[in-house]
Amino acid sequence: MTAPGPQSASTAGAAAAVGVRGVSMVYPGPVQALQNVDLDIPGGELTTLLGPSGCGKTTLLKIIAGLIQPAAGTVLVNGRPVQGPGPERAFVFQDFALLPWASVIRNVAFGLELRGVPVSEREAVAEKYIAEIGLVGFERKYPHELSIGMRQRVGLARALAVKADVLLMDEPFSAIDEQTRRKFQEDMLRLVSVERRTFVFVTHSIEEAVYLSDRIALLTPRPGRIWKIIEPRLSRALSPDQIRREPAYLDMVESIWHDLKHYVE
Amino acid sequence: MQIFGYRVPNAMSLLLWASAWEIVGRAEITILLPPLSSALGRLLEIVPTETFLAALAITLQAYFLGVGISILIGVPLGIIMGRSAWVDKLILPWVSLFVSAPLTALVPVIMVLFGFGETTILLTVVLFAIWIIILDARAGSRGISQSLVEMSRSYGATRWQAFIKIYLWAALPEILAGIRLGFVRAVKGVIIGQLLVSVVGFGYLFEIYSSNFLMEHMWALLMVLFAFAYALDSGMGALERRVEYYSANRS
Amino acid sequence: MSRFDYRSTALRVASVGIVLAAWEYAGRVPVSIAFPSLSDTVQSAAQMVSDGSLIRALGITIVPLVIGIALSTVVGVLLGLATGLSRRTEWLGIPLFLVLQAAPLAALIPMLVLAYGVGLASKVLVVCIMAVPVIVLNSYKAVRYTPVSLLEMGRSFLGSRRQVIFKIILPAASPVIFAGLRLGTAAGFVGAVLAELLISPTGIGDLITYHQSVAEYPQMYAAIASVILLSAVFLEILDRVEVKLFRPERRAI
Repeated sequence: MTAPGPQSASTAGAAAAVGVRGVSMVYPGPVQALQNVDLDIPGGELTTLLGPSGCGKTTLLKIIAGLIQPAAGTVLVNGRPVQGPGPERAFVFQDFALLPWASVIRNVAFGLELRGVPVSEREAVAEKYIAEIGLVGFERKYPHELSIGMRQRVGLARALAVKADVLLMDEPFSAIDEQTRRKFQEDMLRLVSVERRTFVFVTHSIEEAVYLSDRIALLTPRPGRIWKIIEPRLSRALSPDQIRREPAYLDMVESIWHDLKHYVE
Repeated sequence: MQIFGYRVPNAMSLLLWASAWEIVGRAEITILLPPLSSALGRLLEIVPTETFLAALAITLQAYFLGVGISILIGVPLGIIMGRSAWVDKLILPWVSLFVSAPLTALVPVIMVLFGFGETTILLTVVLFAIWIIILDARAGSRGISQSLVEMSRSYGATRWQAFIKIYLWAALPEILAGIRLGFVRAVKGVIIGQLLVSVVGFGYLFEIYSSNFLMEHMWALLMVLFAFAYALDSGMGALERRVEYYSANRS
Repeated sequence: MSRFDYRSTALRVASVGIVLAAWEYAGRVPVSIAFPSLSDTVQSAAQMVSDGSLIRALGITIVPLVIGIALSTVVGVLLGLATGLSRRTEWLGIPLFLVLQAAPLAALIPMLVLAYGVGLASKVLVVCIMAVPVIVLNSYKAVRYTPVSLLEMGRSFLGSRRQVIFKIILPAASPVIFAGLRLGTAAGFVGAVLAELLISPTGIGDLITYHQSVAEYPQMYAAIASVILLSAVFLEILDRVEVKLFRPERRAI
């Protein structure tokens, strides 16, 4: 892979570490979505929550984001407990959650708009991130004029633009076709090395998890628990295509699949 | 909604408003609003009378006949419009115009052409109900999945078979939604028709009550009409829900 | 224009043409004494415009209509917002409005007109009574069923309640709210015209009943056509306003 690009202006200090302590979540039913989850998410790395449907990974991600209040337990960001959403965490939604009536640039700047940042300033920031995700020229377009892959990138740019320390991504590539998806994964690797923030990623794709992550938390369902922590430790010096053919990569994917097989419906 | 953790049903809300009506009525705030209880009392008085029953008969007859005609003409027309581009282009502008036009203004036309009798009321009902029925049948028909169409052709269905066995059912949720709205509009139609042709049915009764300021009687009549409209609407809603189960799964 | 466009414009012209031609023919036959031909109707319309009677009548009808619809919009959308955002208010208001919407509110008009006359205030009241229920119900539905993911997104970016309402809920709700406004406007028209038809002598309703009573059918039909056209124009304006103010992305569609 190419050498890491210039540091972005957002990484002033060390990236935030996230700690999950004893988090449980119960839905009416009663359904125990999560049970006593303890997890350390190191700062500046990409950690993936991986598991089959129903294991509570999206629920956990939303609890970390502060969008859901857990039935028990706390979430710490940089050692401080959090209640509800905060400026240090930004969420990327699975169905993009773009405002259909707003242009791309307004959508990307939306997080800043809600903070009261003046128009010219927030549009300048938005333009920078639109360039970073490769959508220059599309600033005045509307979401319905974009392909699915482009819309997802707009959602990502919006999360980047608020300069949060922790980016939470909820199956961001699941709606995207296979070819585009591979390209996005490669872009993701580049982004992680450039941005030096903490990324928490949710996916059900084993290959994606092994490809992208510094650390994988395997979750199992009913009730949702952290079962295993795996650290792929793939050499980042390899090119994206080389990684996919590395024996270490392939072996790891197989072993995780083997482990999870028990829990697939 | 919940109070202290107990679910309060929606019907209680209506009871609350009914009590409010009673209180306002007793306070005699306006001559227009007598207490609910006295209107109810009058209701029990009027309903068994011959005048009322005759008016009811005329109204119901015009209503159901009118709605029947609207459905018989409107649904097939809507379905055809949904499947044939040129029929659609020809007829749609007029349907769109009339579905939101103040059809009340057209009632005098019907009156001068057909007189001051039941035929006029019947035609008014059709006039009010038919456009929305056509539009929703058209929407249902346009939404029929292309695969179903191709399937019917590949299995050699005739036009008539395709219509009866496939298209009608595939479009049924929207058709029912349109008929439900048609029912509501038809009630407005039959009332407005009778108000304007005031020598017939409930219109006649309204005329008498209002000119004599018999408010309690008017409200009694209104309650009958409102209850009828609401019952019809809810009934259709229930029917719609029974058909709804497959509407989400259509590809 | 492509071949397809020519065809669809041609069909639209044909559609209008056929109906107009049928009208003219039916009037000539004549289908009934009371059925004037198209040309007679157009002629009398022109005459009524030039002597001012048509414009004056429409003017008298429009004023309470516009005021009534404006009022109904404000009240209706506010009530819709309130019921959409709060379960308590929803419980209080929606069952009532559901009953009102299904009910033939037109039946109240004779009573109201009798009690309050056909002045400006009572006509505005009539328009409001006809329009508010459907506006409330549409606005309520739109607000209540705002896409959850957009609401979550607003929360995740720390939007305040006020920001979420104005920047997310209302724009997302605007198509359905405007659909309600269209229906409300149509209902308001019905109210205004009915009030005038029942107890004149004002506005376009009066013009219609007057010409009807003296058997001047071309004029009567002309008056009727004018009010139908007026309502169509109103609704078109409503459409344009919606696209311009709230849903710029629809311009492209």
